[in-house]
Amino acid sequence: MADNSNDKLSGNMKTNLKMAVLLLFGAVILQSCTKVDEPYYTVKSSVNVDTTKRSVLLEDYTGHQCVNCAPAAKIANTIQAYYPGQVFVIAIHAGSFARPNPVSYPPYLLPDYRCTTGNDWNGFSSFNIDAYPKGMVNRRPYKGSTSFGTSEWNQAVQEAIALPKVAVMTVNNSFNSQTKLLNSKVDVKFLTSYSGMVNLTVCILEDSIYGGQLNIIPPDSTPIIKNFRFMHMLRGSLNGSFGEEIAVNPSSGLLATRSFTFDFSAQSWVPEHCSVIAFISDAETKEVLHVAKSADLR
Amino acid sequence: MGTISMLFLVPLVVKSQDFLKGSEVHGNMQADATYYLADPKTGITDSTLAGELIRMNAFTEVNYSLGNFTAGLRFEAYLPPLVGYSAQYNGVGVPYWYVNYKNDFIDVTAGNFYEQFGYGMIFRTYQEWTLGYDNSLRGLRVKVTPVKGITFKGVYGVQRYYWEPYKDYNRGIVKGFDADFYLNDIFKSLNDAKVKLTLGGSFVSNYQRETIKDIPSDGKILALKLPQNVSNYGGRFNLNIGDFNMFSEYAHIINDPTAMNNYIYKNGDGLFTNLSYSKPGLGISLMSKWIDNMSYKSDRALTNNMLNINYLPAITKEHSYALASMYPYSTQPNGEAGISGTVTLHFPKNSTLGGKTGLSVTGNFSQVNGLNKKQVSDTTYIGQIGTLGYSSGFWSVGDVVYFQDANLEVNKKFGKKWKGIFTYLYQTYNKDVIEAHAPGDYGTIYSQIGIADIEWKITKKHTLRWEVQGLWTKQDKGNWAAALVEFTISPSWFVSVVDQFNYGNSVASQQLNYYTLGAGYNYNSTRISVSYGRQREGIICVGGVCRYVPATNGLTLTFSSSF
Repeated sequence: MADNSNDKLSGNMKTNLKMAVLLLFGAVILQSCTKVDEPYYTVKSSVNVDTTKRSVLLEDYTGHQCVNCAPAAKIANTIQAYYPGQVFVIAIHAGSFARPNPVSYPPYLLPDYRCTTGNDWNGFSSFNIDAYPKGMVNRRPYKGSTSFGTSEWNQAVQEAIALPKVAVMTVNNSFNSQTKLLNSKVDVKFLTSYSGMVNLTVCILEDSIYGGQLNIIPPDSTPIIKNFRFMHMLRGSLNGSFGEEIAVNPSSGLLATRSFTFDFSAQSWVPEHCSVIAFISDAETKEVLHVAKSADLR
Repeated sequence: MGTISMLFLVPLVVKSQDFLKGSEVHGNMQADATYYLADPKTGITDSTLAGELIRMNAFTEVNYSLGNFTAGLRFEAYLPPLVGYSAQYNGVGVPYWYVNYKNDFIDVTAGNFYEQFGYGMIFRTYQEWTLGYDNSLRGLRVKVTPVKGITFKGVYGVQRYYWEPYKDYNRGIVKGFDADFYLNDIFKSLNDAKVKLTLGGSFVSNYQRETIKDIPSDGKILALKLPQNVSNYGGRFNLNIGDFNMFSEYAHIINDPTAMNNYIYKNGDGLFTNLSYSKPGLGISLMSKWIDNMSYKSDRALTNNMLNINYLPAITKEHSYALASMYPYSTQPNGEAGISGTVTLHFPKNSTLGGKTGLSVTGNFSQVNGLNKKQVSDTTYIGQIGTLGYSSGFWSVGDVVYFQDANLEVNKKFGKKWKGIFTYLYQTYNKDVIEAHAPGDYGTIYSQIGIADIEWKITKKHTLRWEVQGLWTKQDKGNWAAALVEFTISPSWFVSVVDQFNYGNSVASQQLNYYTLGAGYNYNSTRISVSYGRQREGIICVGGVCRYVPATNGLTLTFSSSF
């Protein structure tokens, strides 16, 4: 006997099917979509700097052969300008994109801006920077990672800058333009007690170095910017890549002072474009607790 | 006291034995450990290694099943991760676990799961150990089969991100629904029809909490308005008529400004089509792909391979020979258009072309170009942050060639003991685009590659295999030669010697040999191998997803087993 219900579903099946279809529509309705209309943004004008809060170190890992690094440098500058006196940038030229390149666009990519301190920070066993540009904000994890892309820098700064101040710091320099000798004195006064060992790292930065920088990003999407102005370039540390111990479990009011001497005569750097940046950090976690920077050397 | 305890315990033991009756345990494990050595010629110094000389990636996965229930977990250890894998994997733990119940009507999984809707352009979670890639969803998955031929799937969860636990909306919440209708099963009158048709549709939504994001740009801080729910939806069909098969999938993303697309608000579109024909002795496959702004992640700030919700299929051929895979294609989610075709011919034994032992020939061609992107206004550059980014017509194809691969493979037996595979490839690789360098920096690499792979079955148990490869190019690092000799004693032992020589490098100090000595032992499903040598810098790709591998030198021990 022929089954004339071949193309029809059984009653139970129909019920199941209806239930499933209802589930489908329910799911679709729940999973709505947000359509954003123009204008897609507003421009923020300024921010009030709160001097009771922590200052922030923004490290920009970069290289002159990194085609996305020019806009990253611009972003770092913008953030520093947005939080005057509270955010300080160090540009670390390290990794494969920072190697001199004698083949492409000679002689623009010949300079070697890398230094031992930057290489040590960049390496496998310290911060292990695996892509460029990447940044660190007070060397604190942000969304689970200590280093991250430019689109997270400002959010990470906002988070770090809201933390209470651990210490106040000053950096005072005297520079003899005849002998080319720099004397730098760093004072750290703890405002709260802190549990753990605290290190002080003191570095020299140089501004306004002009050279070639590869670039892929509009509006300056030329393959190479031949006269790129490199700012906040890390030249080295005065007391080792990871600094020196200045306190263990410091209590509120503790004052630590360190002095350094550096001879510029063996360097090609322009002292007038150089400054000294100092930061204290937890020796164990490497989190930066406070930063201070001197004016350019005179 | 002891007797009383035993009296209570005995029934429990018997019960648990009953309970366990019929259960099965399966699993597999792998450990890759390397002892790294300094090798100044490749730029690896003691300072680079910084004392972390031994590194290891390892996992063990165990699955237990009993009746309709299955449960499993995977333990992973990266102590620290091998060089070339993300440092964020550093650690140990159980990132993957699940429990599953399944019958004819419903299939429910709680925990982590891997799932795919259609070809994956809307949703795909998967794991690829060699890439260090895992985007599993942790949450709930329900599959319902109300009638034969109809399948509904629903997924809800958050994706794995290294070891970072989900908290405070630190990544998106992914919800998805998929429906699949196999018409020939649904309608009995079509059961035996020659034409077979499957229709499918998917909808996925990703929720991220932030509504405003401050992004510095051109000396200003832009407060971007962000969509909290970003959806990706589309449909697909599979049509089969005898020896012909056609599959096509379309996907559409509604405004998803991300770090990948420089925070533009253009919608995304993708179309993938695969047409194939096969009959004894002949196989033809044609594929096309058009991708426009299709990166879809559960964290809009990421620019690496992690947290992809969808998968953009690769249409270029994946090569296994060392020099053929030197310049692999990496999918460009911001925009690409490509086609590929493969023809496989098999000439049987005792035919004119097949000779006494038969002959197989496979020809393959693929090409991927960029899109034809246009400015949305005179004052907006292409890809400008906080705008629609650009305009592009549907299936618009740009002039810039990203990749091209034409290759021919001949597979021939010479008597009972000898066989050979002979391959020729011509590849065009736009290094600037594929590896994100500045236009004109490295340019496009044109290479010709020839490979002979000869196998001699000396006895039933002993096999000797040679590979001789050459890559000729005037660009990049110049010419390469490679050779391999492998001796196998079935079923357990093998030893091999491999060398890749960059004799054409324009920098004399970089004309290096990348040699590897290897040996391995197989016992049932267990394999142990050891190798020593220098690995060249390069890129490994699986399915268009790639990982950069720096040059290394060292001793590697690999162990794998399944049970």
